[in-house]
Amino acid sequence: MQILFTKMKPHIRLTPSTSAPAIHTVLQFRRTRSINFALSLALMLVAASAPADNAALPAPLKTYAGKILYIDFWASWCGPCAQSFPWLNQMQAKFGDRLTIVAVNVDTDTASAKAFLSRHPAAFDVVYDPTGKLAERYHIDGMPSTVILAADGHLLHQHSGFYDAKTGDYEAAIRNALQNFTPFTGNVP
Amino acid sequence: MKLGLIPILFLTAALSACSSVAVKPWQRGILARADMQLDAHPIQSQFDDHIYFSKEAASGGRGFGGGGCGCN
Amino acid sequence: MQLIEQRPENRRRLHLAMATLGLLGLAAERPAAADDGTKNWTFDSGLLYYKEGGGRVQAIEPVVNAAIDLGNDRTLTAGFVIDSLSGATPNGAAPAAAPQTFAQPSGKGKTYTIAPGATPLDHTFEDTRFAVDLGYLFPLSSNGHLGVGLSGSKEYDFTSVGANTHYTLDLNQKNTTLSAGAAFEYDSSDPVGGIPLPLTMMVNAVKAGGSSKSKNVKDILLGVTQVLGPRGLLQFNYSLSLSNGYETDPYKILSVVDSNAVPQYYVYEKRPDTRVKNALFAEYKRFVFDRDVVDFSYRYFTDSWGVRAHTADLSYRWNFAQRKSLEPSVRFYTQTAADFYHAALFTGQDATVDNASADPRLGAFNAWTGGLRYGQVLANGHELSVRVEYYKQFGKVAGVPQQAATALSQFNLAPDLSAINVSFGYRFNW
Repeated sequence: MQILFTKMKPHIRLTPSTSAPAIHTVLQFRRTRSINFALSLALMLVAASAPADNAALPAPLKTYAGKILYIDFWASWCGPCAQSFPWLNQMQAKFGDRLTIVAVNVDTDTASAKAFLSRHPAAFDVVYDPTGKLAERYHIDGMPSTVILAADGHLLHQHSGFYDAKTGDYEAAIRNALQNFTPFTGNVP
Repeated sequence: MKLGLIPILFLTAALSACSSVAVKPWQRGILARADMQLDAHPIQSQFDDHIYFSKEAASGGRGFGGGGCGCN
Repeated sequence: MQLIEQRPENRRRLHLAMATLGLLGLAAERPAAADDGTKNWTFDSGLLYYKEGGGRVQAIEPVVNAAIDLGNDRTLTAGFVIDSLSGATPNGAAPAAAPQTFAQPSGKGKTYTIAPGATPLDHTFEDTRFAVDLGYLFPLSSNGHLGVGLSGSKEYDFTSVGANTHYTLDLNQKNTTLSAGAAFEYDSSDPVGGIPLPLTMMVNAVKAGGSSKSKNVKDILLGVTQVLGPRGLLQFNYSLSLSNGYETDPYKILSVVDSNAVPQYYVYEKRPDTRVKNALFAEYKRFVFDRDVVDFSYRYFTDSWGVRAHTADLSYRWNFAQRKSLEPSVRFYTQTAADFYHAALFTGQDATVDNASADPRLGAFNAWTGGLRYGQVLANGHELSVRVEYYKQFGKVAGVPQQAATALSQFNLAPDLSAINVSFGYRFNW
């Protein structure tokens, strides 16, 4: 099991690869929501044009931009995944307002995935990745795998495996991400 | 008896070095199948072991571990 | 691609080292799926019915193996076997032109008589064995798992206790798995009528060698499993077994014959007090036609008693319907006779040989097995299976004393053996 923790300063920074110019956003001024969205989109477009950058969200996940993203890679043939779904439902209930949980399915045959979902219902969104492109992109090291991304797509946390005894650690990683990396919504605190 | 184990280990190490044989963790759907396990019928293997041990001079060889979904 | 509803493998399956190390059939394996996380128990039960041709051995053997998923990758396993045998088994003597009378092993004076030309079989063979094994499997370091276990078995004239351990290590994102196992077993033999003095004359089955003897067996297994792409798997194993102590079968005898193949008297057999066994094993499994599974394995065996054996096993699992399968299989086995195997001894030879045994198990033969297994997953997720097999040994004459060879050649010194077995299996989570 690997836990990769990227340490970042509390203010949001977009720090693409070193060859691209660094863009710093200043947070301490009032912005309307639409300007905030436009600015994020512009920044993401710039970031997307930067070479080999893992901070940009890949196409299937772009709809989830703007929130802390908890991605869980699962498959119908993965036993621990069956155990992790009830826990993910609990996390969805607890943190759903601030956290987006997306379960990425890697079955080559999506019908098997749907059969699994009928036995283990999910309160969160499911994205299908039968060719494994998303799994490859995030260098998934085991099954199941969890990746937590910041609102701009930065990797905050990653681990593989699901153990009952470690759900405390998993929840702590969620809290840590929410506490330190929740995107500014436009209201001066 | 001269052990053939060392060449076997080298062969396997060489095989594992070839990226074409290794699979990614998300590509193990078929390996996870019950009928793709090295001992897919444990009860029947147990019966076989017992019958052949009683009727033949040779025994042993079968192992354990490996394959499967690779989860956790 | 046909949709086969896949049951998630909650944990990897593992044997207890007992069966894998060649010790008498005690195996338990980990649960196949705790589907919804609440069914932690897996029961795997079976019933074997075995019958040899010609009024020989019949056996009935119920088995139950249970595995409990304790969470966090730890598993507890338990297995129970009851093995009930009856029927006739060769006593080691050679056929003769005149009827032969033997004393029953109990030494209480009862006898049995064999017709001319027939292979002498002892019909008094009857036995019930109980065996238990326990195991515990848990993770050790990030990519390793350790298992420990205990086993024991008891039948009226034989007791066995043992301990085993095994370790597996995953490398290369679990594409390569190394495994190592070790087992120790202590066996005690307390035969009916006592222990015979080896290579001494059998007189009314009176035995003067004491009442019980023991031996110990140490087994080591080393293996490597390699994933070959998303559809293939290859495994290599090496196993070594060291056995010391009383290896002789206290019930088996040899005929001591003259140049006309007329038995003069019978002597108890004698085997060396150590046995070193080696086996090299390879297995390849492949998923084919997007639906079926081919499994091929080969084993090369050799031991310090001079036996060399080859075993090749091929099975094809045809998943013809979503929850049903049909699996034909074929197995070929060949062995050479042990160095001290003798079909019979010539007069005086019993005083000069170091060891001698006429046990057909140590003789030379080829054997073929053909089998067909049907499996079905029921609506409730339980799995039912039934397998029928036909086994035939083709005896090869060996160990014939030169001086009596011509006379003995009129008899069938290496008879064939055939057996059918039917086994049922039922597996479920609870």
